Amino acid sequence: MTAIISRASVAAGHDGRAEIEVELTYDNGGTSTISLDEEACTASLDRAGIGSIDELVGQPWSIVLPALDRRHAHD
Amino acid sequence: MLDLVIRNGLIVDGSGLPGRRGDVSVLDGKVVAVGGRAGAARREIDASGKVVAPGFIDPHTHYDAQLCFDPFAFPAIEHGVTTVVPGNCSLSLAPLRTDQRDAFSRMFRLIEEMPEAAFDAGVDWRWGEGFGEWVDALAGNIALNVAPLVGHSVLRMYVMGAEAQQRIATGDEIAAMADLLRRCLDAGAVGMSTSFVDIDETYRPVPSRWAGPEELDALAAVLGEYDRVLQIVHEFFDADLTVARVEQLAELSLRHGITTTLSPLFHSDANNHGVAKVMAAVEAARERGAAVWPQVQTRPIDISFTLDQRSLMLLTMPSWWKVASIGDHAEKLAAVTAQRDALVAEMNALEQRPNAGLGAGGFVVREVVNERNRSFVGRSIDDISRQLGTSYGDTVVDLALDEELGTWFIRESVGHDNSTVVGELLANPLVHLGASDGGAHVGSFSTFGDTGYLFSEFVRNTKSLSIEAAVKKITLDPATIWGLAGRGLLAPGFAADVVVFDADLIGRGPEVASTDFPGNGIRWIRRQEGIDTVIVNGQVTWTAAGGYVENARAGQIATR
Repeated sequence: MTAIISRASVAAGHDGRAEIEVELTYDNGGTSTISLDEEACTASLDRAGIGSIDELVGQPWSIVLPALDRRHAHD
Repeated sequence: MLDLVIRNGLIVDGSGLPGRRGDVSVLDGKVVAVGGRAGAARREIDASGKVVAPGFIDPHTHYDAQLCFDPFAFPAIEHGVTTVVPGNCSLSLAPLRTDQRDAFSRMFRLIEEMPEAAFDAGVDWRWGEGFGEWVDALAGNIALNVAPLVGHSVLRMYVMGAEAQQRIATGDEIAAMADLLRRCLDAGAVGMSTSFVDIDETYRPVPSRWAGPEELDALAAVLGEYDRVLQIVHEFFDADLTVARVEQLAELSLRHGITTTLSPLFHSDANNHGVAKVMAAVEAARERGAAVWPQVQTRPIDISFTLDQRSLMLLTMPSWWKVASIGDHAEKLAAVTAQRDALVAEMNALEQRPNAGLGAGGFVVREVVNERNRSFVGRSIDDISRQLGTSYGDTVVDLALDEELGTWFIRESVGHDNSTVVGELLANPLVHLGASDGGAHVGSFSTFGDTGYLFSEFVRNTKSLSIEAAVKKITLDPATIWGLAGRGLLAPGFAADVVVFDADLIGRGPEVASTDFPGNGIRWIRRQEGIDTVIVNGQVTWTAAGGYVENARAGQIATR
């Protein structure tokens, strides 16, 4: 199943810090939300060559994988 | 003779009932009479034209470290806060073995954004290892009341050592954690905190996240023995996961008879249905008789940034993102100068960005490099632009270039900022007002002034709550939820924690830099507005006229 980023916006994060909230929409119409802190978001965008949160919309969800990999690299 | 009388105020007693005019009498640290005309007292305070209310209770703080070197938790008290709950989100300074201090400190400093220099200079570990010893060290040297949580992560570290971040616990280890939790509760812990989201400085989940469900259940059972509270920080960014946590808390609450609270619950215009979904789950839990309290903060989310570094703010301006990505500073400056017109235009275009509320006119100058620009600090770009006759973009770029891009700006209210919706949420009787995070994130933003903002924004501006309802939300409600007997109400026999304030003026001051922490770093604070007097256990601790009473140490461990 392929999920597409359907929304990306600045939102409240843990403890009141600003983060990027990314909504993923799946083929079956289901959605989920993940939150990327500044460092994680920067890592993802760098990898994808993107320079704006607006450009995230319409991209496959895998574009934010580097951020998630980085977060759990030491699990 | 009475010790203290507060005369002629509008008494808003914390019950939520309409205020009434009269006197409040205090003797031996307790309220002895409310209403009517009091007799003579050693000290009298004229509260004519002002509100007299119970001291405010802040249930979600991280003052653990600050209280080690600052008995006032400056500037919490001047905002009317007389009781705080530190130790949230699975992290407390005890119990902790000596050889675990470095690992814990790194975790605490990262998650709560406490500068290393301040933490190391201020936390001397004089109490040793035990939770009771830590509480003893605080008692007698605090100017406000403390109801400390013990952190699940440190319970795990104490029992399991480094393996606390490697595996689930054995039955024996769970039993050892349960015994340790009992000792902490005996010593005055108001409950236990746990985290389902936090990571340490190496991106590993914090110890509490390695617990299996049987471990949390066993610890919740201990909380049930003592009728104490379970606090969690949940997957706040996902409504479905949050609903699952609400249901998990409901099960724990019903099985063990405990009160639970989850924080934070934020509103987002982009994800409005998420809050509704979570609140529906909370309502369903309450209908079953479970005590599940979502914590909602009053203050909106801010972003601080410079034009010198990549940040979330610059992600809304692709051209700025590109120049900020240039590593060499001189090259970056040259690029900004060369592309100035395009960069200014992009910044001005922020005003047209739909639903983002990020317009440059709302930027506020937070800190400057050059003293000649000092007068701009605290002023909005809209205000400065009107004075200079320039566009918003020109004003920002000219100032930043004058300081080689070193100027710090803040854009306030970029999230959790729909005051109508947030006001309705705060007024909901199923919502617990909290999540201030007092004492944390000191280098990023101010965690002070949320109580003042409650009145200025949600009582005076949106009129979401009456003044009586707002006072109840931060006094009797938290005292009841957290089991703080004898606090949160102005009634005979209750602790004389009192705040006198001007209902037309109470608010929060602008965010300003402060250098008062050890280690010479800068932190961000907000000073009070509209507060007249703060009394802790009958002792006048702060006044608008005289500031802090230096030797005031009337704070108590609120659970002892």
